[in-house]
Amino acid sequence: MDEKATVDRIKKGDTQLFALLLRKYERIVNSIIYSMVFDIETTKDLTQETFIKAYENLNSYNENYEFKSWIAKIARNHTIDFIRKRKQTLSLDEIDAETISDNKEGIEEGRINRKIIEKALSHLNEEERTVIILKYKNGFSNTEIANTLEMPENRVNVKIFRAKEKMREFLNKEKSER
Amino acid sequence: MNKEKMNLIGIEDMLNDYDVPEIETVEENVMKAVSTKRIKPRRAQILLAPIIGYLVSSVLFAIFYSRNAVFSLVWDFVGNRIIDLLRSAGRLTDILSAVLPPFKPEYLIVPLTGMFIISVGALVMEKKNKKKGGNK
Repeated sequence: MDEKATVDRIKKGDTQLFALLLRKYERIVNSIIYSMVFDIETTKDLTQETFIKAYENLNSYNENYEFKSWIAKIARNHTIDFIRKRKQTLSLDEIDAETISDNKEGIEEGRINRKIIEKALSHLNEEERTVIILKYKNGFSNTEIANTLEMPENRVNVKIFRAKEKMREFLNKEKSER
Repeated sequence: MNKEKMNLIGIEDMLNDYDVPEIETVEENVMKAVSTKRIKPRRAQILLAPIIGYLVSSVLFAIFYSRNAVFSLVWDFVGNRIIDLLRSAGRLTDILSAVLPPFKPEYLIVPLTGMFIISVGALVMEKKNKKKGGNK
């Protein structure tokens, strides 16, 4: 069954089919939210709220666009609202700084890698971070990112370029300090 | 990640390697919530503009017609100045008086109401569009 048909059937009352959409897009929603809050529990809560919000507003989903762009947009905006409400501005202090230090014995490489990337990501503004996560973690095309963030495609290209530059700069600085 | 590796690999490789930590699925909770919630009916946004327009023009109509004092005040400030300006234009006044219908201050209600309705409508639509950038 294609997504359009699934959405139609959910709208007609077959609510259990919503689980299909949830399973398909949960990871995408998780990654978008996590890249904004860097906290597992908060991500879990916001993911749950995102899907409930999506369900309640299913009637306003425009089927000419991809569902993943729509759900990504809800996830992002819901997280922005959350951050605003809680005034939870992301600071570097909130990210486990010790993982960047040289004291890495006993810590697996993957985790260190993740923390370094998260620290680099935290140097980006929210829009750049979302663009990078959508592009590299969720395989969104530039057009899909443009639809999700409601911005022209060329601006998406610029954002990707700038974000990568900022990350590169940060990582080079990290390297030189080590 | 060691220094050598950081030197060797590019930012894109690093990002491709990067994995968001495993987060427990929320399927059960969401499906529970979904079974008790209803999909919101689609809002007929286009209906809002005429409703607001109707309400606004009704209020304006009531104010201007039932409270002559308010109307006179507006007329004294705006209307007389417009007429003075037209008169000072000399010959232009003659041309205008030939083209325009007989002028009554009350006629201002129509354009003023129209202006107001359009402004309110535009504001509402702008607000809606901003929200649309949200999740709708």
